[in-house]
Amino acid sequence: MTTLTIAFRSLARRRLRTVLTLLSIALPMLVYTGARSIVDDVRRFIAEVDRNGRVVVHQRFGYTTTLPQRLREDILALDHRGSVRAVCRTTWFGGHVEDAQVAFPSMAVDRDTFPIVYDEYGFSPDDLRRLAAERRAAVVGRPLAARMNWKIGDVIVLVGGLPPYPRMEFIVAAIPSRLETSWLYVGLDYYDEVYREKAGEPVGVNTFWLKCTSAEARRWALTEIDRHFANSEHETRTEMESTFLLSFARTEGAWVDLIWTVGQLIVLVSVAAAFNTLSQSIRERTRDLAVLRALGFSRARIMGMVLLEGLSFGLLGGLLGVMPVYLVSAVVSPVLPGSSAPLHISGWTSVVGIATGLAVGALAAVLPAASASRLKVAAALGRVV
Amino acid sequence: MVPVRYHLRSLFARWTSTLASIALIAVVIGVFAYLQAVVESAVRVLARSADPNAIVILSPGALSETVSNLQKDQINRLETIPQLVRDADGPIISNEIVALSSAVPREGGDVTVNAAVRGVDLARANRVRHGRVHIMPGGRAFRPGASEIIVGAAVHHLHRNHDPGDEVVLGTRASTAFRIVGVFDTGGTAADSEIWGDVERFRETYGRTGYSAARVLVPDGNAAWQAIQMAQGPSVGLSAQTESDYFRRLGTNQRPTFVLSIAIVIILGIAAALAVANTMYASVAARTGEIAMLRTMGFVRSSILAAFVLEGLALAALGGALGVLLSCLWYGTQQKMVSGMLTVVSYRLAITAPIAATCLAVGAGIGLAGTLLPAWRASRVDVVTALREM
Repeated sequence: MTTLTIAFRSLARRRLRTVLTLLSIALPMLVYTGARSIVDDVRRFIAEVDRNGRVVVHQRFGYTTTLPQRLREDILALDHRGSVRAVCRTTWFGGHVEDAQVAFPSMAVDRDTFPIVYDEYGFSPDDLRRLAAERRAAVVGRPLAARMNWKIGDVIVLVGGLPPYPRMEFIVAAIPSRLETSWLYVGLDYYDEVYREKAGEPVGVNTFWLKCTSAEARRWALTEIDRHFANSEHETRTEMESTFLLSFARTEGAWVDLIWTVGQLIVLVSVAAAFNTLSQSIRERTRDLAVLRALGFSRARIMGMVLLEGLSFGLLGGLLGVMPVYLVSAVVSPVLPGSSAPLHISGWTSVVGIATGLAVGALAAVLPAASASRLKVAAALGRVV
Repeated sequence: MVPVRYHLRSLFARWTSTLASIALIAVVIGVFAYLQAVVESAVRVLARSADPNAIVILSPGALSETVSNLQKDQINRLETIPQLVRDADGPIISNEIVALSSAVPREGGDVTVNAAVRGVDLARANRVRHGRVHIMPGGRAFRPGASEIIVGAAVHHLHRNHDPGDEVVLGTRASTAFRIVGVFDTGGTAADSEIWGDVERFRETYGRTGYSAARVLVPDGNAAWQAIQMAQGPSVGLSAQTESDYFRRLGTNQRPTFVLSIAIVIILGIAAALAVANTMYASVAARTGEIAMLRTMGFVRSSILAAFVLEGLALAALGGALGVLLSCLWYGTQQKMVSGMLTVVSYRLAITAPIAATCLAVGAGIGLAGTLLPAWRASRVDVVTALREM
């Protein structure tokens, strides 16, 4: 009989206990994997976003202060070497559907350059045609379109969130296949026209997004634009996209940190549960273990047996906790409350979750294994027989 | 009833698994208490700022002060509302400007966060806040018209270079340096995370023709309702809500945290209950002989049932209490959240009595759920067989 068989036989000995223990390891692992995925999603997004080759220009002291629209031309005029493929102006629109409880973020953007600067959203040729032809075009993220039941061609009415709070009609022109956030984008030209009419001045721009042609082009943009506008009426600050997004992650970061702290504490729950079961099982098997020792099993082998039992608990519990959420997230892409992108549980996170399960099992088995190996054979046999 | 001493002894006899069960419940309850405190303290810092007898006037359609724009003549129309609290000069109206400035968070780095900047007439702003604004010793109020500001007591925890004597650059073009001449305390409200200066000076700095919001006072809830109706009616035509309602709306972005924490606690609670059931099943199995003995001595089934349930509850109570203590490690720590105005607000984490009570109750619930079935099994032990096997 191999050590492995003994370990599995002892798991099968008390089925109810094994099932209860596995569940009490699996549930915390489920929460842990979920927490890790949320944290990973945020970190990975920020780490990878710079691959899109974008930089952002905003007012020197922050994006909440606006810059004039004409800076788009000024920036393009600075570019003599074709460093910038396109500039997309974006400004906060903050629209909401009247009398609806649903809130979603919305921006006004340049209709001509938005699909170029954000080419990773996967605009189809039809999307591009509609976007170019329709002043009232709106681009809607897939999850948002699904939730509001909006389809291409639908007319929607939004009220802007900033003074003069214009009430405007839009036509859903594109629901890009890879725009997996609950954001909505409308045309800056149309917003500007309505804004001018009501407020008597052009709408200001929060941010200018530049699509750079190369890494070197980006370096140029990061230094030269701010140098050019220094000491002018409109001083700028140019940043990598990741740096800019980090300022949001920092303010929202408290929430991510919270999730992470809790996720780590939760692992302790499964350690305690597994430890409990293992020490009970060892106590009950004092006699069996004594017999094995009398038969010539070494202390190390007994210890290994108990450790193996702990590891199998950890592995099975980990699998049980991680696999269902992994499969569910792969099939339905659930959107958690308070987040605008679907939760993505990567294969790597799942592996880490299962490995954590293993670690939990090992950690829980250390003390019981040590006490099993220290068993005094004569005393144990004498005690029971 | 089975004597208490028996329970204590049997808990001690299996002290490792007793300890592990207690630790397990403690961690679950500790996490629960912490999450609950985060959500509640965040909501409370807003709620504490909220006065049901103060009314916030915004421009029609505006959802928060940062995006509202009121002209002087619009505010003047408020004077026609009879319910407002008055002094010798007429109704007490506090015209305020709210703007955002960028600040470097205390922990540093090259990313910035939004700080709320509020322009006020200090005397009037304090009147509509029931005199809750206190300038701390060693500082003074800003002088009207001067480039001076005062900062809330929590600003020090949030932003770098925002201490007395420091200069902060404000304005639409970030053009004007303001010197911090004092620190004010409003007793833990959201205003403690704000930067205050003279409203007319800020109007110049931020190039505003009007104001962001006006605050007025009414004597009671009934008057508040009437005043709001009138302010929203055709003769005034502005958006009006009590401060309580206003802050409740700003706080709704805390709801996802709440929903998620409940979900986490339910899942963990089930796991903990299962683990407790495990311990108790084992304890029942190991004590079959003892139980049979107790039964022969004349203890009835219900006593046995009660005995094991009590044991489980004792475990859960200990674990729950320990968990609450554990969460108290974070008591009073400064936390941050983002308000509906997109500014950072600092608050102190508090484990309140209701939170502690809820946690203990949930802990007991976990204990009960985990114990009932094993205790039932214990009470069903077949006396004759069990005694023979001893």
